[in-house]
Amino acid sequence: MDSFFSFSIKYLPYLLEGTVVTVEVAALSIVIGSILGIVIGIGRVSQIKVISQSCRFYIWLVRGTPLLLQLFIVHFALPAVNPILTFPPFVSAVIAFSINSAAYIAEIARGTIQSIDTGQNEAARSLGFSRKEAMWLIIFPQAFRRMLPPLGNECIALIKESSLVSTIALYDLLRTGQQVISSTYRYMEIFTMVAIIYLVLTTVMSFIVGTIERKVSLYE
Amino acid sequence: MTDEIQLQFPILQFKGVFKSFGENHVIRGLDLNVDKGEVVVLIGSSGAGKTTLLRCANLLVPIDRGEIIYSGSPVIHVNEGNSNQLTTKELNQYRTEIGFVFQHFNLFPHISVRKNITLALERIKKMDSNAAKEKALDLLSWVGLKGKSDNFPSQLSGGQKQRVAIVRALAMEPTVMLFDEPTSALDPETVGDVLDVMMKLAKKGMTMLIATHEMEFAREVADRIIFMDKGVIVEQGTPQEILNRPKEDRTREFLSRVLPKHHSLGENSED
Ligand SMILES: Nc1ncnc2c1ncn2[C@@H]1O[C@H](COP(=O)(O)OP(=O)(O)O)[C@@H](O)[C@H]1O
Ligand SMILES: [Mg+2]
Repeated sequence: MDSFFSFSIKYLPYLLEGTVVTVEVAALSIVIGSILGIVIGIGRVSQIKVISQSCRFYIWLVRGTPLLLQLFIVHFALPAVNPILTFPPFVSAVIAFSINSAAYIAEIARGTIQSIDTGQNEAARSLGFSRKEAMWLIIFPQAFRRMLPPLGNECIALIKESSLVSTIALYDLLRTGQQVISSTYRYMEIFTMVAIIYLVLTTVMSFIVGTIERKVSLYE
Repeated sequence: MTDEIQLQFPILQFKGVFKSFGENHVIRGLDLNVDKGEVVVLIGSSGAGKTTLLRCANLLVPIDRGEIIYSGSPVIHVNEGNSNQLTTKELNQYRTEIGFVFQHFNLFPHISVRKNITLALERIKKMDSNAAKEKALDLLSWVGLKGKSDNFPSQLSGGQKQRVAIVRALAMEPTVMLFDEPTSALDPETVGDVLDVMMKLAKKGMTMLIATHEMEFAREVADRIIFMDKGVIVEQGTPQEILNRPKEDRTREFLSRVLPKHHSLGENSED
């Protein structure tokens, strides 16, 4: 017990290196996943059948299979298909998490787009805006504000789920912790520290989400 | 051509228009001509089809059968198995010439009052942003909202919102303005400001087609009042003809429900 504090200080720098990897994977995936997800979400409400059905298929496929399996497919199966598709663990992780979060974000995008009053579209069309302009100038900007809180929650989920990358030998926060354990055997201390760092990350993120939520409701 | 004929030129025509939603036949063979500069008021109970008629006029809803003609050329023409309508581009252009004012304003809540007005000017009319801004400010002061240009819609009262909505439509310099019960979502004390603006607009010679339950306003502003029931025009005429000497039972029955007592039928013979 005497040593938990000094022990923490000693190994914290290692764990922080892992934390940086965790944050990088989560941040990159949420950005790429959001862009992809928004495009798919808008495609989902397209009048053009082929587009909306393809987007629907994507969402069904990705949400209906485990994230860990998707990670394995990207990291282990794709290289077997074609060696060109061999990625370092970090890249595989970002690809798999982006693909995965895109499907969830697409549903968020679709939901918020459909939550915008139809009168907004009608007003835009009655002024002479095309369907596309009405979407990008009027509907989407309003939907995007409503997307921010659920996007923040998606980001929190990603921070935690990103711990799965330890299975493809990427030294994120959790895997770094395990590594420290393998030379110190101090399971409880290390896992406690790892838990505290995850909590700090998710709490900071919740705080940001809360602030955004208040800002959004202020304008509505 | 004489001036007389010029003045009577129908700008908007409905010919045998039908519209149903599933089994609900909402517009049933409606014919209507609106002349340039004319103010036509639509009255009738809720569910009569007033809103649908207005929405058909700028094709916010497609019609099932009939023809809509704007300024002499067909906007949409549907008969047995055959449908012709403007191309998407022409339709967008047509809509810039038909202003629409909604019952629930439908202002864009994420942009300022000024941007609500200038967005279409800049994007569609390709107006330079300073000119658009100036135009917005001019029109806002014309409706008594000079100081509100930087506010967001959520900061305005209902009556102010509706005046901004009128300005937003008006800024496009439409030929015809359609109003769908523009005051029925308002607090009573702000109704007057909106009706005043519409009255000013009518005096400037704007062609207007207005659905409303404000009978006194209708009496004052209308060149012609149309009483609609169950998707057809039951009776039309001057305000005196319709409000004071209605011929049809259905019109009388409707008016007896909406007109205040002292204006009840037969008592008023000022014409
Ligand atoms: N988009 C729609 N889908 C289904 N039914 C509709 C739609 N719009 C209007 N209706 C129906 O059409 C009828 C006439 O409505 P409306 O045109 O709003 O009448 P009014 O404006 O005179 O009250 C009502 O029965 C209404 O339920
Ligand atoms: Mg109505």
